[in-house]
Amino acid sequence: MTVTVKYFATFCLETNFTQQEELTLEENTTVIELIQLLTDKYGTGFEKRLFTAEKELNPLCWIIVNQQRLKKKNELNLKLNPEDTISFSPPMIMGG
Amino acid sequence: MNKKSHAWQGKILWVNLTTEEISTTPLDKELREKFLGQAGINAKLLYDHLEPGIDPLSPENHLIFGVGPLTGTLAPCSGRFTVTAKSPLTNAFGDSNCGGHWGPELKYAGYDHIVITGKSKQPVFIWINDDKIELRDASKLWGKTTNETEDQLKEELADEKVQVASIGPAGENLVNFAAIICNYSRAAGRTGMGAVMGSKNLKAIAVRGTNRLTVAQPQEFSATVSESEESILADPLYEFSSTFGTPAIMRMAQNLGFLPTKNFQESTFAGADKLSGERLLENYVTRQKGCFNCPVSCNRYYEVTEGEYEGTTGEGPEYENLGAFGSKCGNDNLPSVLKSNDLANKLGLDTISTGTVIGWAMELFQRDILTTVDTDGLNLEWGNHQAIIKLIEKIAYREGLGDILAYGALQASKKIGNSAEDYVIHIKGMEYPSVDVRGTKGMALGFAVSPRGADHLKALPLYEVAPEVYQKDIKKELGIEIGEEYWKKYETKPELIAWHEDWHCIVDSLGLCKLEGIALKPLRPCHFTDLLSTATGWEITEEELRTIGKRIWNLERLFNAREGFTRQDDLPPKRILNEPISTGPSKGETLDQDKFESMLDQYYKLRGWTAQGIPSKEKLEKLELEVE
Ligand code: SF4
Repeated sequence: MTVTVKYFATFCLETNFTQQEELTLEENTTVIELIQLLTDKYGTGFEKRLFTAEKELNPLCWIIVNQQRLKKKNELNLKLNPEDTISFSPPMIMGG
Repeated sequence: MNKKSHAWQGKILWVNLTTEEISTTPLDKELREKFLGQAGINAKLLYDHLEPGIDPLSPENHLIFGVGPLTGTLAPCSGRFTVTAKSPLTNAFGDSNCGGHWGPELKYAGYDHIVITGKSKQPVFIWINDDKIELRDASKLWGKTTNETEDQLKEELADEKVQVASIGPAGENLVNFAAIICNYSRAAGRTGMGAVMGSKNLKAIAVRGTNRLTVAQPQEFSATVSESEESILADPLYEFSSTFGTPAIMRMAQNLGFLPTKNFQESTFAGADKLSGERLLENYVTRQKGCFNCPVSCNRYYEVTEGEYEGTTGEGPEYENLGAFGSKCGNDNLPSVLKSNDLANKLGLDTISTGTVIGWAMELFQRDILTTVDTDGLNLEWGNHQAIIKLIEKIAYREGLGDILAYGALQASKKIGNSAEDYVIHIKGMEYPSVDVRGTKGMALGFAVSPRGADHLKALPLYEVAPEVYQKDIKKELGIEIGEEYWKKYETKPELIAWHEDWHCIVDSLGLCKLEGIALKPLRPCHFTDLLSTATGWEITEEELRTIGKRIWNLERLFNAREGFTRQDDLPPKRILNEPISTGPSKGETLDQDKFESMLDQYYKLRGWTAQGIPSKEKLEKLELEVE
């Protein structure tokens, strides 16, 4: 299946400025598996942005699946569907 | 507070350009205690000295420059100054805050405020060299761009360290949204302060200062400065603001569906990725740039090295510039936006109003209200970046259609007629910044009640869409519980906005940058009281300081009330109130008129204002605001 992954601001520093890409994943891939794939692809810096030293989700990094924020670690077991959009971003701000 | 004014220099400089009289008066203790400095004291001086109802471009207008008690000190991000006058764009209270290095230099020259009145017979510049003040002939500078003016003045005055605040051709030609520029790209942009300067035949103010600036408790002040710096550097978003600055907001706005596109007809833009802060950093940024004593350095130098705009260099742009010359005009060509930004700075134009006015003209073209007959043959179809650049020049030099657009969209719409006004996205005559506030109800309120018209900077609740970032502060300060999709809610927004407004009045009056203050949150009210107390020796509580913020806010409101502004002038335009967002993830989101008006009622009540939005007598007494 194909999903779209978007990287915002500081996450683009990890992806060498790739802002968005289509990835082909195996069916039923979960968000945490996607994060592992991206860490393999872009290095541990990617993962480090997402988790605290205690391996908890960093509240200042947003993981959004189709407009839905994943705020708890167990939500990372969410299975992705074809054509999902997954975004990695610092907290979004507006105006300025 | 000590009689001796540590941190303040304790002097106001008065320059009458008609009589060429120059004098100084002490900065009263009472004025400092009640209005703090910079924006606050500027507002008070304007209120007290300006005759209501005057033409903003007449010699009667007062053009006031001010710095705050922390400007030029070791406090982080303390390079700010404010310019205040009655605005020609709105006929309301006008002010504009600017960074760079000019403000600290004025402070070192020994002044907290300059009040400029009258009109010079011929073009002049003011040369402030410590206590030596001269009016010098600027005939040779008239017609020059702001960067040429800065370079030539440094040469003429034979000192590279001279700081220059100048106007370009736009200010000379009285474009109602002309800016004052210093350090080539730092702008006192909004509300047309550059036009007021031009109306006085004043091309520039050059400053060199070598005076000492003392603080009351050097050791304690230094400790507070260190704490404040640590707070900025430890902020989890430091890397974000320092590396990308505001341009990274472009794709966020797109993702949320709040990116004004084609004059607010749409709220997502297919070309947003091409205009992004990430693209800017990857392809065009050459190095970072910061204002005076700023550990963040959120600004950038850029260079275009290939293509149609090869050779373009400049500084910035901010998110607002990308929105103004980009999505609002349906333009996804980033190099052209960089060119437009540089051109606007050189010609001395407010980028937000300029881009928004051009976007509005493009919609009139789309609707056949303007045709090539009116545009001197220019094809104003969406995204025509060559036409955008041509129009920027035409506005600054008031040529053809540019002569009409130079009034600002609202005033120009009256000249164009034929329902052109229906498409002006403004409040009080000032064009909206790049936020579709139909999605963010707090910002909708903040834009509406700002004394200077549609304005993101007075309230600036940057985290309204990410409230959990400052959830603890908001709970502690306001007792507000923030739920899911807080930005969509009307409830509690009056409290949220009033809190931001009050504290931003303080930040703007202390001389600090609001981006690193309340807006992005590393500096909190406790930092402001500590910095102020140790710098001045004035023991002040957070509550007392916030009361000063409220006093300043009410005074600016009173200024507008005296000029005849009422509740009607706080209402968003037709499109924002009546039409739902038409595209993207926020499609269908509306700013419901009844709910908005009820939010406005609550806000007025909270502020102690009448149902017409006029500060009540009791409120004024409580704030010790004596007015006739
Ligand atoms: S944060 Fe940016 S705008 Fe504010 S003082 Fe620093 S460099 Fe200037």
